Amino acid sequence: MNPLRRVLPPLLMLALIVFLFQLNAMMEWVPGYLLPSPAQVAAALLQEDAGFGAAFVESLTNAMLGFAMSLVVGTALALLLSSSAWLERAFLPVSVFFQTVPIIAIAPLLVIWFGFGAPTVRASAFVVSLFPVLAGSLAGLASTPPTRLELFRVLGATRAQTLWHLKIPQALPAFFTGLEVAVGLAVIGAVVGEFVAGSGLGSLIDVARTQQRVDLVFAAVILITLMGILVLAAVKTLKILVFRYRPFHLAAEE
Amino acid sequence: MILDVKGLRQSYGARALFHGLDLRLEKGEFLTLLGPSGCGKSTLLRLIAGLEKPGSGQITRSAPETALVFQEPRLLPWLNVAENVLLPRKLRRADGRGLDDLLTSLRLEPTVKTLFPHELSGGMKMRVALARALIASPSLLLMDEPFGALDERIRARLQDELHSLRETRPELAVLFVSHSISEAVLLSDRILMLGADGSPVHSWPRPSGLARDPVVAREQSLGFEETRSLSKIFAERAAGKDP
Repeated sequence: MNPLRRVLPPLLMLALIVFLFQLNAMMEWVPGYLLPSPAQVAAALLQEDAGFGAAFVESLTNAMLGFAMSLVVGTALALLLSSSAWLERAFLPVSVFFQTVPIIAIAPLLVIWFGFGAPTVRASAFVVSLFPVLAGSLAGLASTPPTRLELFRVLGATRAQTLWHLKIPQALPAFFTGLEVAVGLAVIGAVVGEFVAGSGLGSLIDVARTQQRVDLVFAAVILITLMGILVLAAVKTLKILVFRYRPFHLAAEE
Repeated sequence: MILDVKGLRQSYGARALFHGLDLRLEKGEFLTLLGPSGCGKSTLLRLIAGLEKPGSGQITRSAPETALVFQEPRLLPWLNVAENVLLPRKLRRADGRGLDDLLTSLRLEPTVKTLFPHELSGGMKMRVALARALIASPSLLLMDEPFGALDERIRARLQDELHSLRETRPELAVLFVSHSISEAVLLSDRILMLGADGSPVHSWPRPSGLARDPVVAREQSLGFEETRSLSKIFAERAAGKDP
């Protein structure tokens, strides 16, 4: 499909939503203190003393640091678990905790452990983004076809060589799928952490709520959405670059 | 002698294979195992390659280097042709010397070196797999119906190339698995026909009248007495019927 035809429908939809909001503000169907006009939101975004720029950078940094920790811990754990069936059986059910626990429920616990501020926010981003990285990497490492393992046995490869030259390249597609899920969750985890621990866009929303400033809340929500899109696009771009360098995405083919 | 199999038996549950099979392969010899599907031809290669342990009996390989070519090329999609071929060397931390000559001998242009497997045809993939097996200069080459999935024309060309490969490597012993009688007759010094349970039912030595060059032999063997009698034995014995 040509790019214009792909981009045009969502852009038109967005324009329509913005128009409806503006129309609402002009007709005053819903009062401005409940639903701000796009112009108000734009003004809030540009308002210097609101501190959106700094808050955005802070949230992004914390989300990405949490995500980076997930990346390191998740892949290391996956490598460890995939080396032993016993370990995997022992640990995997426990790790489901990270997938199922509502982050909002353990956020207060994180505050108790790490105090107010960045460490809690990073820990929160870490907790929610760990499981997709771990699950993606494990699934990828387990996806090596027996026929290729057999080839490596015939070639007399060591365990380390089989891991490096076969299992890791074979795992990359599933690994990237895990990253795409994890990076978005890291942003959510960071914002939730900020609600309880202060700092960043999350805390900005919390403060705006107490002041009944819907324009600020809307502005922050838009920025958080943008951040999610931005980090997801970054991971997807990295994936495209890696797969263009070598066709790892064809790993499942014979 | 490069390979000596003595009293081989293997069983899978209630199913027993080989019944004490003896098999010897000399340096430079080309032996084809023929038999109906499920008779254990591939299993025998896997046992010799060390991928499976024999139930009983002995397998002695005096080949310092053994290579196995599977039914499918089994190339790694993320490695290009050169990297796929050199994989065995890489695993032993050896260099890539002789790659170009090897590729040329298998009629692979030097330009294909940077292509990835998904950019190759079926015949080219099999040539690359063959090159990967040969890069370590094996003295025993095990081939498990490597040309089975290729169309007739490509298959014939690969048979010719395998023949010329043997001329340049007279020491190379080949144990070839096939279910095509004409392919076996074209290529082999000796054919061992296995019955449905993997026990040998017939041994065929290459008749002196049959040309070595497959291009000539192909014309010859169409009407060759030995091929016809072999087909008859295959139909009767290998399928498990009593003669």
